[in-house]
Amino acid sequence: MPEVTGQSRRAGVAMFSAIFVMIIVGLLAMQFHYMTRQAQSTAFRFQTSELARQLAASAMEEAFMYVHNETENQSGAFFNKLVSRSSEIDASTTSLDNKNSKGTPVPVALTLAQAAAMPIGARLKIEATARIVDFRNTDSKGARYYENEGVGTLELRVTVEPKSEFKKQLQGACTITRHHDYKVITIVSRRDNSTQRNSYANGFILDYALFVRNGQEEFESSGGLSLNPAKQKLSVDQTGLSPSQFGKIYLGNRRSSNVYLNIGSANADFIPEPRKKEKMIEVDDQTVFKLLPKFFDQVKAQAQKVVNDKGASMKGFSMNGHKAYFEYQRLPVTDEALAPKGDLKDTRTLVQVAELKYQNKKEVTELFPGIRLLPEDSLVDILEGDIRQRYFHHGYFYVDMSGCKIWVKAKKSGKTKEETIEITDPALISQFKNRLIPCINSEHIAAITDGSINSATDNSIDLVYLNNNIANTNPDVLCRIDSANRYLKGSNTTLAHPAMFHFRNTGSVDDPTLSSVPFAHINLWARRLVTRKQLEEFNIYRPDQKKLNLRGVIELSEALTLGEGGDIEYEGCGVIIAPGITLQGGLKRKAGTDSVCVLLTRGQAIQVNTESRIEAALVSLGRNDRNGQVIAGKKLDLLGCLAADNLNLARWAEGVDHKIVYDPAFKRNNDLYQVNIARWVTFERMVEQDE
Amino acid sequence: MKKRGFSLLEVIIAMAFLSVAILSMFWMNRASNQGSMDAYYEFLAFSLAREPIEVFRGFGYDYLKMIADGNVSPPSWYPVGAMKDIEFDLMSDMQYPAEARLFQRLIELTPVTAGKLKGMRIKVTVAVKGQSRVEVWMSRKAVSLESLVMERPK
Repeated sequence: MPEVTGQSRRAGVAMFSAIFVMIIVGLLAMQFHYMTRQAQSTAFRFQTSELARQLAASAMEEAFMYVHNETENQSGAFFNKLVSRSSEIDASTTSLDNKNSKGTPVPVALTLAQAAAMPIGARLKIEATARIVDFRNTDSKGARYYENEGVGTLELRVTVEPKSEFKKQLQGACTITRHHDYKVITIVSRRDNSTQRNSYANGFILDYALFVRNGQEEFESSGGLSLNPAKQKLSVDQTGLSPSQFGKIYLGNRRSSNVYLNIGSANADFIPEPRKKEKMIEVDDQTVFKLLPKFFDQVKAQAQKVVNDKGASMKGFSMNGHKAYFEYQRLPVTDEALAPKGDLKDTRTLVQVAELKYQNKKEVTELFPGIRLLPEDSLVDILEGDIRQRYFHHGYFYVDMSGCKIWVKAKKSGKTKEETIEITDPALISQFKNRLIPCINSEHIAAITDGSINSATDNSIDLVYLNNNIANTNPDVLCRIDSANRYLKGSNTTLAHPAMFHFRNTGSVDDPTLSSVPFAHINLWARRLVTRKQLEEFNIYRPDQKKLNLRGVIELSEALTLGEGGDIEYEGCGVIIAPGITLQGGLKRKAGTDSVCVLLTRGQAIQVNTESRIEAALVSLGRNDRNGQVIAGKKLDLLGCLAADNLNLARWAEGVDHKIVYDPAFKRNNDLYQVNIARWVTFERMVEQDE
Repeated sequence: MKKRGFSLLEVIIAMAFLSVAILSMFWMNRASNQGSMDAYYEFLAFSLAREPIEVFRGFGYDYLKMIADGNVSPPSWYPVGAMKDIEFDLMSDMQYPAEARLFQRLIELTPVTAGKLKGMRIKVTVAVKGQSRVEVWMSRKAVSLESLVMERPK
């Protein structure tokens, strides 16, 4: 066996040392290489993740804008899913385990196109979904909103991940979840014209072509002139609409009272039949003498000349055989209708003054037809509340002298002894027959204590006798200003009183002045306290373009003037609430759209200073002071509806024909909702997945 | 007993193995070095591409539209429409890593629409500046990143 020396042992150590060093260096190199690969992989993953994140952010923006735009499209599928809270999209009542099963796809075409143009992006799958995660349909006081109204939370989720065939190569992914609150409100709520509402709806006021909340008070304080003004004429025309489309008209009467519209020549056919009744009652000569205590002397005086001509003496003057007939006729009550017949106008005025004095009401001596409601044949389908027609019931009698014989003492020719002879004078007879003696309620006349009666009444009649002996059993013999009949043509049907709801939905009230204001659910409004400047900044009102873009309910913090530069065209459906609105120009719906515009104040006036057509609802109803009014400074041409606390026609332009034509867009058989989705993000979560 | 050494053949073979091993290590080291620097500069380039997108997203659609229409000028350190050097200035409000000046950046704004949707496509391309050491290390000469900024309700 060879002996192993120390030198050979050293040579072995060097070799092992060299190999060891080589291995260490090799391991370090491999470690370095491994780290490099890691760094490269990290850099790639960073890029992929960043790309996924950017695409997710893009898709989220696009999805939001899609949802925002689609919620403007009332006929769109997404809009209807959201409003009806279809089971596909509504996860608000779903258990946590099943929430992810809900959702509707949201297209993100722009993001997909962008991704497709990028090498890595083309390998990514991008999906966006939307679902409702919360919905509240009652307000802070527990009052339930109308139908599908409410405040909800919409969740948008965007997922970007590698397509299945690239999952091994790409590891970047990103999921973004965002919550946006949204509001659902009705602008126009459906109304069946044949029934009343059974709950509060924000847009209830749009049911009406004309609505006057404080009508009763205004009517009474003005002596009826509020609805029958002297110098203003207003027509509410719904000709051509079907009964289901009619806008209702309510003039503000309380349940226990009524208001009236004077009947003029134009609608004399409203007056109920019979419009004339002849020879209703016949009374004999002795009754005539009692009715007309001076009658005998009057005839005697009238006969004086005839008697003298006959050479007779008045000494033996007597008469008998005459009769009196009581009749009545029903006539328009207005000055316009009666002015040509001055005596009738005087009688009407006297009757009216006497009635008002007797009832201790404010006097108005001249009567006018101020408001005309068309079509007159359909008012039974249009009117609500108790609106009466007011006509002049002219009760009178006349003396029929045809059978009357007048006797005097006279000497016949050739004789010295006086004999009783009959006076016949056709002129004398006709003079009395043509005289129609008005029958006026004696108690009413007695209420006139200022002496004005003397010049106006025929004081030859014994009204007390008339009242106690004839009118007591035949009241139609007396003149009256009749407002017993409804303002309907050929009908006296009792019409329904409008349903009023106190403070949103908490219960109905009888008194319209206590009822809630329209669009009272503040938390369903889209914007609050917007300034006039912001209105332009938000692209809602563009005076330069003369455009108004409406969506939901917008409340302004300052008064608004529209149309200073000319007529405005509006698009969309919405309500503008402002502390005062002035219209200097017309307001027109964009052609071919179902746009709806409501201009509303909470008691401040709406001033219309244009003759151009206004296609909108003008609503001035106060919440507390209730002094709302619409003032037409020029001829009003309104296609829409008008609602105010006070009609205040006396402040409208004089001598022009104001016209309201009800817009059937306000009378729908389905609800017109608006959805306002907030741009604010109330919750966001982003998850980047690397594996 | 006579000591035995390595034959020439053994030495040559050993040296060959050793050479292969050493060369491999050198190659691997060089590749690793290259890869690390590539990853580093890719990361830097991508960060430089991402930055204006985030800033521009904050600007919002309307402002970007005005920039695209030439109605307003973008901030000086985000020039639009031209490949520009990324300035390194210690006194500037916007501070970048020193090596950022080895890159150039092109920001492009392109309006896009789909139906009623309106948006602005932001594309940022970061390219290696010529005659710089990044050219040596970075495998790609440019990286790009895109995103969309949509018009939002006001």
